[in-house]
Amino acid sequence: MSKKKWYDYLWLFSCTYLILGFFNILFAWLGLICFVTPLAISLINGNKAYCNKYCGRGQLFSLLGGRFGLSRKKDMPMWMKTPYFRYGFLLFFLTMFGIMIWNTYLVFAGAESLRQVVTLLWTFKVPWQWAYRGTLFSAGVAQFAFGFYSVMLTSTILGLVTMILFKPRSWCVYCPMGTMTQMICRIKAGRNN
Amino acid sequence: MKKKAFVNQKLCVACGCCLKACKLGAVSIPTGVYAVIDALKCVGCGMCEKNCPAGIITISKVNQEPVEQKNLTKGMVDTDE
Repeated sequence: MSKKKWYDYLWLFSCTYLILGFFNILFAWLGLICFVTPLAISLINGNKAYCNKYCGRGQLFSLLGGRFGLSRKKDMPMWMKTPYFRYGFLLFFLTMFGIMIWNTYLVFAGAESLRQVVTLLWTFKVPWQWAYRGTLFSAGVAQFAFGFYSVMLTSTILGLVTMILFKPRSWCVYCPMGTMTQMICRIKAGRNN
Repeated sequence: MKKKAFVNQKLCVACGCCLKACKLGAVSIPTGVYAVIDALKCVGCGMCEKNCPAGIITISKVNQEPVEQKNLTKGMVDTDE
């Protein structure tokens, strides 16, 4: 039962993904796997097998916070567990995601030029030109990569902060993907009853 | 008196940390909405409670045998400490 399965090593994928973004930003596109897979699983199978088994980020947090002891392992404040906060954060996250898509569109349309920055915590613009050596396609392809990597790095940072402050996988409580897949499962389960 | 784990299903995010922590396979997340504890398998060890990132699992003492399968419990051996 405690025997390790192949998917118990998916934290390596999460690590690799974050590292690759420092070398070539276009690898950021791979992150779409982490968006499409959980949604597909919840839509098709009506469960959270992605969170429960395959989420590499969750594994990374439980490894760093658990085995490496980088977590206080304290209970998180009550307001962070409420559906208000969880769905509120999802809404905020999706709004920011929408703005990122809009900025990508503007570059595709030629209205804006490519900005080689990674925006951390939706605020801090970090120069990231070292990870960009042109693209064979439209500059919009690169703009999406910069934007998407910003989303991934920002959520990793937030997850690391709450990992240190609270329990290792406290990111899971307010993870927008987790909230979204649970919402889908709830609707599906309600329909079957 | 026996101890069992109880999930606050309203606050559960169905992340599966308890599922991984449970050595007895007493936890399942059948619909992806919340975790369900099999009261017949649960011994109240508290591993799920410890690993729950939301801290919404509690270990409580129970007086009677699990209600789901009443007929089966009649012949069961009492493993109380």
